[in-house]
Amino acid sequence: MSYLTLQHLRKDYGSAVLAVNDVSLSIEKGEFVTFLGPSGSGKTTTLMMIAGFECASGGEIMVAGRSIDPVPPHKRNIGVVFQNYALFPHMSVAANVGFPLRMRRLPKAEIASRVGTILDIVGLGAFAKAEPRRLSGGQQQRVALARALVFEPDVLLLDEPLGALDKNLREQMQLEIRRIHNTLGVTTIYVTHDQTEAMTMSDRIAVFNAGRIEQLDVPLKLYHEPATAFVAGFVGDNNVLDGVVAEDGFIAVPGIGLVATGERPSVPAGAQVTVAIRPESIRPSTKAHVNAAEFALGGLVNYGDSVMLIGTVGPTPLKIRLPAREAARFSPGDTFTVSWLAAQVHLITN
Amino acid sequence: MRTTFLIVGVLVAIFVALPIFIVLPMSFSTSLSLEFPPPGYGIRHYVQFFHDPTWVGPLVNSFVIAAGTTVLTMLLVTPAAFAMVRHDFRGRGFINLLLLTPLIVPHIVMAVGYFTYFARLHLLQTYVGVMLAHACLTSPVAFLTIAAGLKGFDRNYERAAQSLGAPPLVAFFVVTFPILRIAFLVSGLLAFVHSFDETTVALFISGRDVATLPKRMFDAIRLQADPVISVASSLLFGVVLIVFAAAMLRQYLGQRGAR
Repeated sequence: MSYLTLQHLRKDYGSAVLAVNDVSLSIEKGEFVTFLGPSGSGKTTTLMMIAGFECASGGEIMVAGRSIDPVPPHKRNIGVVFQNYALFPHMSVAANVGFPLRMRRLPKAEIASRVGTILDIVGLGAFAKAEPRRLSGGQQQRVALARALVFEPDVLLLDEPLGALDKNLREQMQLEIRRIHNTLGVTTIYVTHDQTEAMTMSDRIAVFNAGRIEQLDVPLKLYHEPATAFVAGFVGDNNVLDGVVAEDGFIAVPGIGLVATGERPSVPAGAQVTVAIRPESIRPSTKAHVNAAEFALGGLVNYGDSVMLIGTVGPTPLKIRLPAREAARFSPGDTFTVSWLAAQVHLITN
Repeated sequence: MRTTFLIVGVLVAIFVALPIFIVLPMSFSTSLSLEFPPPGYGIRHYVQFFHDPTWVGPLVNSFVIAAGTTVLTMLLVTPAAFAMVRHDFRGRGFINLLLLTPLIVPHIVMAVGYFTYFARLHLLQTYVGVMLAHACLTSPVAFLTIAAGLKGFDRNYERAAQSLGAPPLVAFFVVTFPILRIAFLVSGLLAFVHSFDETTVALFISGRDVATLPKRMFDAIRLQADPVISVASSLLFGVVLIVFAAAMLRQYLGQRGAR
């Protein structure tokens, strides 16, 4: 039984393209789902419609089997964490966190005890009386999280909550948010354009592009079996190549020739398909395989632990990721044979 | 270069402030006529001012009208600023222009208009009439001040408040208003001071019943050079000065408290 359901949700701002175009998905109670996509893909707009700050132009949002379309934001019981935190500057940390409880007219003693409990959970018990602006970015983010959780919302929405933090703090907060989610078990939707963040945190990821959901899946499946060319290119580094199905089940890719795939194509010969080969699946090789090509190295991008070799096979651009030690013997302008295993070629047929 | 600017600046400031340095000593003069420099100093004119109902009455009227005008102005321009800043609708540009017309139309023209129009509505020589007219004059600046504050206001504060359970009006009073309090304070003070020293319209429509201080001063100087006028001038200036000093002090203390 799904808990939060979006049915054919649309948002029309009156421009040529729909900001959100027929988005449908359902989320289980307690699930952590990430909306991943480039900016302008409709993920934040979808989130704002769930929170009630934007009106849907069509479709329906249901929580626990009931439509929340006619419910105003303040009655939805949905917690929202914003990228810039939106902590009230004229209130202390405790007053910020107690705000939703005061709005619900809870007794003072209960407010104090619940604020204390949630501040301990986010590790800010000692900062109750502090002014928000005196806290660091990470601490402010925890206060915003505590404030959005203290009233036990049905759903928690996070809109790029770690976007303003530096890398180390971001990784720390990712674990922190996951830990809090595990503790409280609230149904969570997390919006980000950072695919690493999506991978490490989510139960499932919905990849947004141009107002639509391209794929909704568990992180590993998204990585290894992307359903569309966009997902293949957006999630992780990838070589996304267009080709045509040949008579014998191979895929003819311009510049590379015939490519064998792990699974046999389910579409007839002559059909347009896409193949995706991860850069780390490609290796320098001495023998000419069926899955091999002459690679002309154009440049190297050093990641420290690994090196990305960027070049071409005929007219087709190709990326190869090698461990730093293996890559040391190549320099731009070199040409060498590379190969990959058929099992590591992913076929996208639609 | 810097010294030149400084000298020019000081000279301009002296020139602008000079009338105050003439009026203020004259109000403490012992002379029976308006003369400068004063032959001696005392507070006899102040005693006379506060014992004369024809002076104290207008002073009270000015306070009542300025306070009423401020409230009325805020009630008018706050929703207007929200509508103009937050929403896009047909005729928005035109309405924006309309809101600012009191800045452009000469006050004397407005005054003549109010004089004939309010006569029919029986609003001449009434508090309500003067407050309505003054609210119209004060609204453009008050509107611009609040609109400027609102433009720099992050809507996520309001959204956060609403998601946490605050209905829109509650969100305004407990979050938006406190965060924008400086803009509202400045806007209200400008309206108060503008109404307090407004002369042209008051001259036409306040009459004898609700005469404001500037109107009473104008009447007085037309009849005779009564030195009590200098007391009224000093009081008028004093009120404006105190209001702004209080505002700046508040802001200064607020910033120190925040640090």
